[in-house]
Amino acid sequence: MMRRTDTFEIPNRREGIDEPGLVQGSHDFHTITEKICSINEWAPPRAWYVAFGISALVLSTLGICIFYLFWVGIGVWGLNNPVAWGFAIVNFVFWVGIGHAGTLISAVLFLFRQGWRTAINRWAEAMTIFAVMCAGLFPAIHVGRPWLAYWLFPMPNQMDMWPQFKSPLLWDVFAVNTYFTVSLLFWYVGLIPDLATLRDRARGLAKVLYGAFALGWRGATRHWVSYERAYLVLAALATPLVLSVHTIVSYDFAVSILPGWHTTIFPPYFVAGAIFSGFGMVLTLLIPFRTLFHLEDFVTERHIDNMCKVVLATGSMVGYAYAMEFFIAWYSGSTFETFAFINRAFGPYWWAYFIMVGCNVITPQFFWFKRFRRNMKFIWILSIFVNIGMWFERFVITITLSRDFLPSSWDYYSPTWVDVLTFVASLGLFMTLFLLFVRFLPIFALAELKTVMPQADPHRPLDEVLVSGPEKGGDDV
Amino acid sequence: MTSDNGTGRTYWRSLDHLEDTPEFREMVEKEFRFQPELAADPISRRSFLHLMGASVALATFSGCVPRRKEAKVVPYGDLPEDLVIGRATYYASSIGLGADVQGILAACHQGRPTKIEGNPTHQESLGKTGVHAQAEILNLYDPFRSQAPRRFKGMAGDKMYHTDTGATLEEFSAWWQSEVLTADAPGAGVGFVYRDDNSPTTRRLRGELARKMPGATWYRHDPANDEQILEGTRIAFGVRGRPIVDYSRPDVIVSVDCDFLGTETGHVRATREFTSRRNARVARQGVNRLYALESQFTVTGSNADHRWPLRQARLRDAVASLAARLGVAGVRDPGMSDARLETLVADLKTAATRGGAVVVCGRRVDADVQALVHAINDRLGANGSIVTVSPCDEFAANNLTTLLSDLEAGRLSTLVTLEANVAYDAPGGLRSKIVSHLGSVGRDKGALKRLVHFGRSFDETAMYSTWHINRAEALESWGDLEGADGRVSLQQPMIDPIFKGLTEFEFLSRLAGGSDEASTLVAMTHKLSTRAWKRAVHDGFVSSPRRTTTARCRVGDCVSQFAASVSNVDGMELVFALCPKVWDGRFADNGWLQELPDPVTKVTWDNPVLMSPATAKTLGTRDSGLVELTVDGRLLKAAVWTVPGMPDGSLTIALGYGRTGSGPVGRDVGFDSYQLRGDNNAWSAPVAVKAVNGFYEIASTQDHGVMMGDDRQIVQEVTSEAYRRDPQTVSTRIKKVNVPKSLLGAENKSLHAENPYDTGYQWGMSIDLTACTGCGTCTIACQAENNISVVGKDQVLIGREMHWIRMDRYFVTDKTEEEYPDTHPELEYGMGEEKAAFSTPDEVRMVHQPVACMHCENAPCEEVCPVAATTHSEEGLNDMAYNRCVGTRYCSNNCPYKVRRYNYFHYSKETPWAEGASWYNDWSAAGYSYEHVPEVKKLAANPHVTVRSRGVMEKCTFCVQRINQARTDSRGEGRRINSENLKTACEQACPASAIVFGDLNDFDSAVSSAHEDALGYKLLDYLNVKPRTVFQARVVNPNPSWKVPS
Repeated sequence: MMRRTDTFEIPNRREGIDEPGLVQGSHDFHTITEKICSINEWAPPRAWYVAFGISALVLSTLGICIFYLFWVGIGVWGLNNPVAWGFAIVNFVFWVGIGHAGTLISAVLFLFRQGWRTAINRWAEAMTIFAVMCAGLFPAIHVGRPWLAYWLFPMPNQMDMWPQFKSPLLWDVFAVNTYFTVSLLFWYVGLIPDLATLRDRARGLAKVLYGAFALGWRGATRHWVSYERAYLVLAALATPLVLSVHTIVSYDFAVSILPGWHTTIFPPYFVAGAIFSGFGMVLTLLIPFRTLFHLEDFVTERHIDNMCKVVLATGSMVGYAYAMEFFIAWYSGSTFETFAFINRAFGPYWWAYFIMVGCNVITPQFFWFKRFRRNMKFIWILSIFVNIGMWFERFVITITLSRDFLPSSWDYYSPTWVDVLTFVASLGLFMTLFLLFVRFLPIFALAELKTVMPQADPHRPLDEVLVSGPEKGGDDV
Repeated sequence: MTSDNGTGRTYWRSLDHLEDTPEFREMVEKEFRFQPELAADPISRRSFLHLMGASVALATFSGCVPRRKEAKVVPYGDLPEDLVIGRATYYASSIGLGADVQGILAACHQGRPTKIEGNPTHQESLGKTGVHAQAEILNLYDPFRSQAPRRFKGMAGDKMYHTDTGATLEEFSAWWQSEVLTADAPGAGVGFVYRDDNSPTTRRLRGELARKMPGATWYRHDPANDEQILEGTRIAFGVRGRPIVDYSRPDVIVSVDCDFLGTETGHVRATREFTSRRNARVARQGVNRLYALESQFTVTGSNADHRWPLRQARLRDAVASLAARLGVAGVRDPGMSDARLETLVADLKTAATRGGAVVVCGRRVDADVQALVHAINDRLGANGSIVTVSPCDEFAANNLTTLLSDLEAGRLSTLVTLEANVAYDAPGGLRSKIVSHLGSVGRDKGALKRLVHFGRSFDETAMYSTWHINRAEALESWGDLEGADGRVSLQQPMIDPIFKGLTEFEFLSRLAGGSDEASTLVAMTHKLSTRAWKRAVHDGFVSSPRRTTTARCRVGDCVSQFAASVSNVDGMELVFALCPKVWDGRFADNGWLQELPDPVTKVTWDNPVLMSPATAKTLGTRDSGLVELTVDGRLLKAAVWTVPGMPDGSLTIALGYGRTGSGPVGRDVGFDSYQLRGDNNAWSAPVAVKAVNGFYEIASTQDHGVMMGDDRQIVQEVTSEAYRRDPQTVSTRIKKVNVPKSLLGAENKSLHAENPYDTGYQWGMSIDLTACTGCGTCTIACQAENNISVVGKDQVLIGREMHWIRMDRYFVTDKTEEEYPDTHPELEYGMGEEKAAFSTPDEVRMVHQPVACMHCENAPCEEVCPVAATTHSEEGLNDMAYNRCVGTRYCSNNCPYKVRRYNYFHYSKETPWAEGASWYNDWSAAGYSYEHVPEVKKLAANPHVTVRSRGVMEKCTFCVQRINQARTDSRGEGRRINSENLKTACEQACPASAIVFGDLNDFDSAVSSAHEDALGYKLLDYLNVKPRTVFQARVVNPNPSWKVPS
């Protein structure tokens, strides 16, 4: 993996610092197109089929779980009187959080002109869309009478009855729908030039379909100008969403009056956690796919390294938030608050709390060291821990319900098989969609990727261009 | 984790034992699991349900839905003057449980009783009721009670060969005349076993039948009898009877194992009288003082100022010591050296010279001890004033031991059981032998040829019957009941017998060859003038004075008959308790009662063996562990539940569970403790206990029993003394914690303009914790009024019970935190660990707190509902629009009191069955269609309250339907609602009058003054949710010189 860095030391003008280029290997514009399009145009490796088969199978259980749930009632879950929210809400927050990395990478890093985003933004945006789809599923199925769930939307009706705008659940409806819409548009707009590339190379039905979605893109300058403008506007729209969506999700808890929920630290803490978990998930997906499709030239160690740094930063913020929650609970002098936090760590769910702390606070600290930021297998394992830790964080928060004000009402919540299987099945939904994405859409933003190549630099000396021709590269796949 | 019945419900939950490995649990499940009858059984439980359901449906289709007495039906074309469709009509009647008779008013909707209230003019109830009267509605509409006479051929007790050939009452009468009555000596070889229903008419007809069949032998069997009390009175006064105690008079009461607030005869009246001296209104004058000497932790013990845990075997010594030190001549002091005894004697002596003092004895205490207590009361001057003795009228009969010897001698060829379920509730030793004789019916062996079973349901004894005749329920029959004080109450039918059952006296009359109507039979007993009869039926009772004896207590006899010594003072003892819910087992099919949490243990659907945590530790077991109990070689495996405050070495188990012959609701629920009961219905026995491997899940509604520190300010207590010194003591204490220092003295200003809620009616409630005894009547009354579903044991295990008003119970000791050993019960997983922190010598007290929706003015639930399904009314009610609710459950999460209840399944559509069968599993697998509810069950519903569907949140509404009814009435009369006449269901039923509901805008109302009261406090006031319910702090009256030796 380290093989090409010493032969190609091209100073990156945009970064202005001496570090490896964002595209490794001896690629020119054409080889990149060939390379990325080949993933869509040629039969995928056997591993893809295996993964897709498993994912689709797991997905099919989602239908079973939901059918069973709708047929029999919410009681098939393990919820009880103090704990009226369980896995469904945990999963909802978990998936919404996952989505945040995509938006951050595509929008915020775009606005900050972070060149390294180009290799991962398409992935991350796809992940966002699919994660939000998984997230949106849970609030819809967790209501007791799902056939009336549409009452949460402000629709004119004969009862002249509006939703109750003071409820954070309603804010959720708006926040998540806005988020999904903007993310989908952003992703799609970014896809248009690449769909056109695929259209131009495809035959038959594929040509028609790619063509339809490419919206007649011809690569004219006028198109590019409009495109760049649209992309910028969407990025600007999406940027506040990075902060707002998870803030509003955190209001589901923070607006309530329960000890352990009613805290002002939740919005920033949730946003940091969301980005943390999102980057964890990007790493979990990217590292194996990178190897599977031989994409080391595009997703370089530098990319992974940068992501590890984000994980470190956000993970540390989350750890700080955990500590601060405890401090404030003690400092408040409220017996209920103090107990809620002591109970989190040493009560019946102590195991969940320590899984959370172990995974979210300790894991990212490895990334202080370059050695760990370069070890792909290690990073991958740690990214799994991040995913687990962040799921448990939501579990720990939600399950605070089990012990609130009056000890007479305290009870222990245990999930049923339906709870667990529905969560696993949502992973199946996510992976199925992701594998289909990998199979049928360009996994890198082709046009953008080319812009960070040395060849795209108008100020680059011609000799360097000649030196870096494909004949000297030979990094064929 | 293991899953149950393939439903996938996982069961590693609270109270316990997360560390149990799956293998261990699986082994337990296999070893200790009540399975329904296997498929080989021709009448499997499920097909039985199926058939029963279908037959109910057919029965209800075949005529119109059960109707009133046919002879009196008048079409509404000629509308009765007082009848308004949609308004309930109230009829007076009465309900009895042994000698405990309560006058009731049944609310009827178009001839269908839906709710029972106390009869305000009846002396025993004065408008109040107990749990059993409230739950009577469900007994009436129980689809699983017997629905027709049956005639059996073939081998009794054998499910394969004991076949129902179907029959009518006429055929039975013909059979009786030809087969039984034709003998030369009428009645020779015929035995009657009856359970006394305390009806004078039944007693009269028994006499008539006995005269007609002089050869017949009569046996009496009542597992819940007051025999020791009757015998004690005989020794002391020379007449069998019951002491009637006026609890409103004494300043000091000493209860010797007497659960007079819970399970003793007359407990509703006792509660009312006791709390008339113990409530917030009289607290300034000082409240009475109650000492309880008991082994089981009873409701009475939980209300005592001082509770002295004493093993049953030690009560005798304690009473003898008391008698000796109080100066009862001739009693030898057994020399109990306990400082508490001196305190007790001193307090009794002082009180006797002032307001009065009394010692009372429960039905479990031996007759000679009862007699000695009469002597003590004589000494205290209580006899004749506080205690009057009411002789009882009895029909002479033999007991079960004689029945067995007669059966063994072959003297009986025909046995008639009249509601006496000997195959179930006879003492264990006798039962197996009697049952083996019953088994000879239909087989060519043994002398017993015929068994006629008369009873409410096709029970354990009916399995052996030749004939089964079904009995009518109290609400569908004429009748009369004689109370403990000898006064007679009348019953009138609210509805024609739904399944054409007979009353016991009608049946006896038919056996004697008569054919009179039930009402005629009752009228003949009382021989009243038409006018007086009409008056009695209207009032629900025959006006007459109490029956009392003028005999003086014969102290000499009491002392001479007292047996000083007793064996087994040191070994383990097992005490049998009457279950405050299912009683002796007769209410096992009543889901409301089964699911009512026990007032003390909070256990539903079970009767675990109760013991102190220290005893459990010694035995090497814990909550939900299993023990093997052996009494006289008879063995019972039962689950353990620890109760702090029980004396070490003393075990208690409730009777009435483990039924095999009840309907599906009560079948195989709990443990059959009759198996261990000694002959003569003994109330305690020496027992050998051994912990065995295994685990049995106990569905308790409250996993945590400590209040977790003073700062939570949940139940506030104040001593009578401190309250008199400083009436503001409670509010000072509340303010100290609830108002942040920075805000002290400042007004708590709201950011937005708050609704002042100061116009029109403003509904509010107050709950007097001093008066509340924790009996749970409010819970059942609410359930009956508001169509609240029963959810079954497995749902209670998960924590999904639906009670709108729950009774929270906390254990308290008067130790400070420093005095406790270094334990942190608050962080433990469940109740077991918490309870273990109470060591046995500590005096463990208990406080009760009824909690229902507080209708907060700043209701946190309303803010978070995304569809505005719960909103505030102008009158301060927190309303629920069920139709609008989509079921996000956010409101429940945000409710600090956790009073909201969620329909996780479609509970209202199905009857949940016990035995761990999942609710949803059962309706599908048992052949019930989703839409199917036995028609007869629907009749129990209050038509004024919406029946909630699946996925909908529900909670206390402050009985909004009653408010609206009152509004309609007041509008018609052009006046304001008189909130004194508007009562919520819980308030109306509460025998302690602890709950007061009314208009806060009416400054003269009782609820307004309670809100202003210095004892009043709002639960979790610091949240500023402004609850509309105010609790009045519990005033206790401890004796400062009472010291618990360590």
